Amino acid sequence: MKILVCIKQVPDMEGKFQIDADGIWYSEEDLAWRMNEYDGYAVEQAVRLREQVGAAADLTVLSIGPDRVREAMKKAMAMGCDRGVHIKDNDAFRKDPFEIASLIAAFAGGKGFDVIFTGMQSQDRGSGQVGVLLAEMLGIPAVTTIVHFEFADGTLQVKRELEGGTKSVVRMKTPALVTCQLGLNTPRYPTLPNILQARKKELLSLEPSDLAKTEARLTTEKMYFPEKKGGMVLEGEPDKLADQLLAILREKTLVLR
Amino acid sequence: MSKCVCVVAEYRAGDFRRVAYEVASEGKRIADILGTNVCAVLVGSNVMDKAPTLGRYGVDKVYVADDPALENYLPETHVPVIADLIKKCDPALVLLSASVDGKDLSARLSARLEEGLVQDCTEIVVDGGKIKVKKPIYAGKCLAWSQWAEGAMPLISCRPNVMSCMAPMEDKKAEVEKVDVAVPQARSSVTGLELDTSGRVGLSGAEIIVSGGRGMKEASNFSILEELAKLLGAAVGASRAAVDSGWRPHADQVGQTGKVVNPNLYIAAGISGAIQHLAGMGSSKFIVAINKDADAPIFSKADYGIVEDLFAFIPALTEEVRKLKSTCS
Repeated sequence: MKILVCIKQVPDMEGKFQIDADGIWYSEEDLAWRMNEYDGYAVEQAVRLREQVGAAADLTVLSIGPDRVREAMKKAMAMGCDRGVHIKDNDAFRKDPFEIASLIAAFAGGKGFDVIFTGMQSQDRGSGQVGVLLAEMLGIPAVTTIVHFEFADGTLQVKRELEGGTKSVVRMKTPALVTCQLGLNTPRYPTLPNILQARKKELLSLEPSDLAKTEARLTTEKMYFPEKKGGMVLEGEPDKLADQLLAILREKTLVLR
Repeated sequence: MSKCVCVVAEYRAGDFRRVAYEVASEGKRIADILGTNVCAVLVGSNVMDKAPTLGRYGVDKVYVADDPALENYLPETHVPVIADLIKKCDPALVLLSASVDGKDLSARLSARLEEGLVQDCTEIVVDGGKIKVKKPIYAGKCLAWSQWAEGAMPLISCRPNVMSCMAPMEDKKAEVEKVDVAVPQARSSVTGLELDTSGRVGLSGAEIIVSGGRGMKEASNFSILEELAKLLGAAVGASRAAVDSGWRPHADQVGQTGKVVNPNLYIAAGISGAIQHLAGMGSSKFIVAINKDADAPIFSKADYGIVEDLFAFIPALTEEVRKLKSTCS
């Protein structure tokens, strides 16, 4: 069984964050980088599947970006991925989801991956598109926002989280793609021996020009910080405050009428 | 007349979802600016009777695919059919909903139609005939405006409960055209639905949400939020700190990882307001924060802040709501 997991490296969410001089993306100065959180669930689930299948399985982790993304890939390999494919692209942040998915599809097409894992979205751009685009480009079924995963006899059974606490149960034969949501699993911490071992694993480097040439569909025109809300602060005794707040809510919102 | 605005009307369990009316209303607003009409695409099983009612929200014509195999959303069956209906409309742009299914559908359509998509938009403008859209990125820390290349057909999924719904025009009916479609065989199948039988109000789509964070101190203390929520008909959410502490299930987590919600009223109790949480609730219509720490970041997002111990304030608020409810009914 051939398994692929696609990951993205994103800035740490609590980092000091500034907009770059062009006003279309963030400045990379002073940011710490880490594996996209949802991709952590994807890697963990891929590794569990790899362990379940055993020696007959091979798990590849793929990432697109500048050299720094190799750090996130090494973490994935320390968690249990067998090999890495780095699509080296210093301009990846300018690429729209369609271009990114096209690059991955160009790599993965014809390679016979049975199961592909991605996160349900990235923490920075948050488009929630790349996994689904990739599935459509490869012509395979995909299930998004999964919170439960099982594999038996060439069939995947997953649970997908819908609105209002409803979960749908979906079954499909491989090949298939799933995008992973919070609650699916708890990603393992790589152990020191595994971190050392991961350094010896194969990490292939590819140029985007080796893969596909796709035109951008979208351009970001500008990016900016929203205005601060600067709300009112109420003070006083809890009873009076509660009374006062209710009066405000009844006047200013559509609820409590 | 120039090319129409196409809206994909989300339908589930026998009726349109509310977001379908929001998307139709937004479609009508844009069509009026562009001087064109609104077409809708409707796909499902036994949906013919409902199709004309989209006229109430500004839709001129509905293209319908009605087939028992289209009962539940499944990418393999719905995407090719919807793509064909969109081509039949030949629109200038397509609006969809950024619900769970809507985001899945939108991304699939983007690949299939080879057109660019912006997900989860919160505002659409027409600037000199060009469509531009706004969406929150980097966990809502930032807003970004995007646009499409010349000659493209923009695909836009709209965040639920952000765009306003027009007052329905009760007597207006949309023209309906039933289209015969071949529904492809699917390799995946929905084998069941697990409903939430707890009787609690779900977070997505809730009008009011009461959320608790680290300040709740322990799992059992959430009962005071549940009591308030029950009176208000509200859903109960939690911050990541509360979920990571094991006080609440993952499904209750509001935040960038977790649920992105935008209720009409969000009450945050004992939540400091980490960026991860603000990303999940920042677009709520009205935000009230209760926290002992006057410097908590949550106050920067709140319309009203209460600097007070939540264990004193929440019961007082619950009591006031109870009084109000008893006098009203």
